[in-house]
Amino acid sequence: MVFSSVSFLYYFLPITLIFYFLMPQKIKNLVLLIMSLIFYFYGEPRYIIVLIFSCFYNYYFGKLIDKSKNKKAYLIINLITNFGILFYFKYFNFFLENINSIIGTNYSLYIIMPIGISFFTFQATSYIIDIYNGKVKSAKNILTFATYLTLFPQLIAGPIVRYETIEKELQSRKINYELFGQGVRRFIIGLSKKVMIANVLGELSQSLLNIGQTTILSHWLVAISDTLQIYFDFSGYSDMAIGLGLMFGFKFLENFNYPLTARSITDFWRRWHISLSSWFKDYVYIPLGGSKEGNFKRYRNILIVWMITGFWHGASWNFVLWGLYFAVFLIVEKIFLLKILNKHKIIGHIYTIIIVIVSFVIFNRTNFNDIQLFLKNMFGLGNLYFTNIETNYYLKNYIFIILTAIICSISYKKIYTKIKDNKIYNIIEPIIIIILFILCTAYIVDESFNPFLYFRF
Amino acid sequence: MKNKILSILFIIIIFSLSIISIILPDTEISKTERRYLINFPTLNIKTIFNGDFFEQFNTYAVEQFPFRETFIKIKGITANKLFLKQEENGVFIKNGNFFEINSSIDSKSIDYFLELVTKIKNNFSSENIYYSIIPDKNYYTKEEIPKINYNELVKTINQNLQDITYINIFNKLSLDSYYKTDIHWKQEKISEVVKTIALHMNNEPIDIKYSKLTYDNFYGALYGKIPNNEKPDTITYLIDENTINTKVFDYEKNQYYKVYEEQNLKNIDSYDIFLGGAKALLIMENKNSKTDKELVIFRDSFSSSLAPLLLPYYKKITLVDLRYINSDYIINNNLIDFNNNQDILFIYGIPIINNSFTLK
Repeated sequence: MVFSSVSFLYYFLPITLIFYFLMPQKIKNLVLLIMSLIFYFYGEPRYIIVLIFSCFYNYYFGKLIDKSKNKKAYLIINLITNFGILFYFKYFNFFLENINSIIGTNYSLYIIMPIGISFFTFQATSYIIDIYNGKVKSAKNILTFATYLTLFPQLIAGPIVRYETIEKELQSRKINYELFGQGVRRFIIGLSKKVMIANVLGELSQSLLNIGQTTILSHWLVAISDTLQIYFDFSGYSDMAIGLGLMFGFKFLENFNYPLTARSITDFWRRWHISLSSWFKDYVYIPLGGSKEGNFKRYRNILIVWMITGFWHGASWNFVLWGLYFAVFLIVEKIFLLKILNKHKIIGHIYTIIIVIVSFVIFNRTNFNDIQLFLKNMFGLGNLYFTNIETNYYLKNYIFIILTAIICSISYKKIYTKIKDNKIYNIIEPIIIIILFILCTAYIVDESFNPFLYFRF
Repeated sequence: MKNKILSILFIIIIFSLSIISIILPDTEISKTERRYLINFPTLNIKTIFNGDFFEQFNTYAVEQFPFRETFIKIKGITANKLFLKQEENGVFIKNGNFFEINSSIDSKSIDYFLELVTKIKNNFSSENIYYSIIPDKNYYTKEEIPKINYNELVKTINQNLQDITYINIFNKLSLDSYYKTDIHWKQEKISEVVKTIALHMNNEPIDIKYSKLTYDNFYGALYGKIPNNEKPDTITYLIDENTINTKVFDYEKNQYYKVYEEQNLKNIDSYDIFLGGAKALLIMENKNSKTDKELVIFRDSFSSSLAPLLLPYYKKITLVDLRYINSDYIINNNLIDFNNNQDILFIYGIPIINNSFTLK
């Protein structure tokens, strides 16, 4: 079930809120667990078994590692199982395809990837590794752990919440209007980002890819709107997760911090999908030796980490390329560029934006030839006109939504800091947020609008 | 305080709308969309575990959402007034004229169309086989909107249908020949098209004095696609002895109709007045006819208003709409008498040619 749907907003959420707030403190976790399982079952009826297995298996291994003397052996068995399952569901088909193309065979299996498996596997392994390192104690009972792992706000698209972040809240948490209202506000902002901006930009990009004659400008517009779309979609989803968390009394960590204001790629990755990059930093980069063992190993580690980070995003070579592309810039920045960029902030910003836009051209195309052709056309090497009637038509139609997206992604924080203590703003804020919610509902309902021209009654 | 207000408002909205949506009876038909809305999905172990129930429930929940049409309007107004987007659901309005935006030719659809026409014409013994292409109204607008490459489209079709005669009607129409809120042409504005087609098919020109009847409340197919305050169109239909004396036989229903079914003006689509709307196979028999000639038209809805004006030239006109009847079925069951005193006309609008997979 996606958050931006009538079934979630007007069926699932009200029912969950009723049960959650009417039930006594003691069984609130149980309510959350049951509702989270229903939430998952709704979108993935069959593979819920994988999620339930992961709950029991990791709970049990958490206990084992906590108490046993042979911690390392259990850790290794656990990690092999968790990543083995992830590999099977997410990468095995890709692996077979590559084997087939190398040795000319024709093996294939029909494997469907369970929704959210990348996220809950990473949450589970962070829990296990943290217990191994003595950072957290294993969960007291299966209910607590299963509630943590399946918590529906972040179950299918993150952020990757670590057990230590919400350990205390899983035992007891405050619920009041203050937190609930903050949660509602955050949720609605996220929802607006998703339905009023990301989806509309997706429409633009689709229309531009379908025009009869593409142009240099249409390629740039596609690349820019794709970048903004991914940002608003993903950060909107994180906002919704954080907001829902607050409504139920959980404080998740921030996952995005205005990444499009970054002034270097190093800076960008401190602001983009923070829960993922910090996972890789803590559980891969640092265990590999991080930056402590000389420059050669440091750069090697960066390459390894970013190759895997790319691959985490999807079972396709373009994601690996996407990760390595960032690794190269990160290394170059570490060698010398970062110092220069820090001195020239505007140049740093422009440089970062262009690199990020190009990165999403790679991200969105699985075929290397398509990537090459697109970039060639984008940079004027493709024998295309600069613009034409179709491109101008779509630019005119979508320019305000693009500008809104740019302003929101770059200057929103500045504007909000200025007005947030203003009295009048504080009075009208709830009204603005509620209007946004009604508009979001209108946008969601409109998606079902599907007129037939030649209908026979 | 502000968080308390926000919390309460939010809770009121989600609970009241969900309760209303449970209480309100389901709507069966959406008139603006011209289609049935989905009913509550089948609930059983199988549909739950294969995910069908949940998938259909998503559609059900949104299609039966309370005040759905109002929300759709709110969205349209927001997009139009706040984000200054002039196009909505692929439709663009300028000076009260609605244009459906399409800028790409689907070459697979064109190939399919050409194959189908070739297959059918090979079954006719008649040598008098013709085809014509009806441009959509975007062809005639001076607005800078995306358009398909009309020349390329016509060229491709001409090159592939060389052994049958092409009747070019592109220069017999103008933007004014089309309804503003609909994709179809106006019957009173196609006399030049009728003359051109009749002449090409070796008919003596006949001048007919038609009397005109009108209906003022025609909300065309494009009207519902974009929120607007534009005026409806007027349907004008042309009457003469031929249209009065011709009986229209509907093969599917096995009964006779009139050329203009005036009660259909009240239908969701008032254009249904012409030959009763979308029909698989119609036979028009003109007892008044001064000739013995027959005509078979393979057609889409544009011909519903065209065919009545061809009556003076033919004794019998057969109209086949391949969206509703399979061409193999017609050929195998000899539903059309093939004879040598027949003209055959394939005439299709570009929207159908470019989306021909609906033809069978």
